[in-house]
Amino acid sequence: MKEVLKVIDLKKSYGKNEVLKGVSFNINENEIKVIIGPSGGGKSTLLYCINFLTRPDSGKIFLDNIELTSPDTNLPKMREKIGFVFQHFNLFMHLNAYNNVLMGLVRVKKMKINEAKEIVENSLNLVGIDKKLWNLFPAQLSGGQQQRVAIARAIAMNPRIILFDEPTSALDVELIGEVLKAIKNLALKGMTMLLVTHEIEFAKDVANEIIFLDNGVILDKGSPEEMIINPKNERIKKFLGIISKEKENV
Amino acid sequence: MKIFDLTVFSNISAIKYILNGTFNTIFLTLTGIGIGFICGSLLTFGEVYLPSPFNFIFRIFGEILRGIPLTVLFLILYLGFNLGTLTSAIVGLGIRSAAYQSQIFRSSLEAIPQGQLLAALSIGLKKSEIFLHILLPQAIKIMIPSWSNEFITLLKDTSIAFVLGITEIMTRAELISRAIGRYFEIYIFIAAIYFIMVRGSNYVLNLIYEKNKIPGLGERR
Repeated sequence: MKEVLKVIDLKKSYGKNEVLKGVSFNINENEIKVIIGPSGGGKSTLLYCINFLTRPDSGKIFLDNIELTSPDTNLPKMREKIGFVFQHFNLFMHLNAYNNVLMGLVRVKKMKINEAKEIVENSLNLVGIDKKLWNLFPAQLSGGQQQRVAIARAIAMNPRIILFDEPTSALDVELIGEVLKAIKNLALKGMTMLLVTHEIEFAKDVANEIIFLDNGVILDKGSPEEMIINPKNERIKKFLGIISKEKENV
Repeated sequence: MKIFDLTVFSNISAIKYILNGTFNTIFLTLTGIGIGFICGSLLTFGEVYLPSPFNFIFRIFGEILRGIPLTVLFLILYLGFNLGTLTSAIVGLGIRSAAYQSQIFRSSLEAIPQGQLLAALSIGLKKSEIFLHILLPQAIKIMIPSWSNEFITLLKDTSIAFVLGITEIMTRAELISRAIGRYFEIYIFIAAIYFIMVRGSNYVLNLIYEKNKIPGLGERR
């Protein structure tokens, strides 16, 4: 199997606070890995470091065997190949749903607007954004719709991998399902993905491997069965217990 | 003697003389806002994008211009720098407006949620492209209401060029009223002219605002 992403001994500190203390893992083509773990454990920082939205202190990152951490890397060129879906959607406020997806194709891939048309439409269709929403601005869309447009914006660039940073945590409960469904659709298409989420049931459903990140280190990783159904590690057991209690309260 | 003598307005040549001052007022307004726009953009760029201590120098410059009365600025330029009356008026109005416009530009840039910049980086846009295609179009739309206020303030402040003797509406009104010995009627008359110009500009700028308005943009959550 072809290796898409490899992370070796990644470290990052904010002042005296060491957020990542040497994290290593890799993802092969068509694989889906889910990172779980308590808040403040470094999950988001890890994703932000992978495409250099946050600069890591040390360690190596490879995308398709090209080193991103080397000083002469063309960062915009590499970021183009790494999709990113944010917790707070971060759509471009001055552009409607359609043009949000179009932006990267025209400005980064330098396509003509009519060349890009098919890609934009396919991307929006894939995440279930109906044609009548295409002309609406982000502020006119629900959170779930905004997040699905953000996913369409990422997939339109035809990335090698998409990173999801808690894509449903900013959503009302009744909107979570539609976003997870869109991500599931991508999974069925064979998209390589790295997902940070608190949706344990969903993780169990789509993940090839689950990584438990706590306090800046990978505490354990394994198949959903090993990690969620029969966890051995006490920390993970405790964490899953907390999560399921929170669910009951909702 | 009447309190408000309408016969004053039968002096056609005097009224015409004042009305012709409108052109000078409009000229001062447009050159002032234009110079202010260009210099204001430079000030903003310096303040926001230059490393310290250079950004600090730009900020101090703006603070000083906002901190002194326009009359004093005019007289410094005219008597201190020995600029001509018209040049002093144009430069004075221009650089003072620059100081205010730069604040408008800066706060509009800062009103754009930062997450969009990360999103733009994540799809592979370069920093210059982000400024051009993400920041600038939003900042322009966000700033229209405050920029309209600045335009109207400047329009009214052209009357202060009176201290330099520029023959705009205010100076002409002063000359005429002294010549015919009636002040109340003439100043009410030019007040009406200013009011009409202000309302007219406001109307046009508001149309531009409504036409370019985008839901949710510039509204603070």
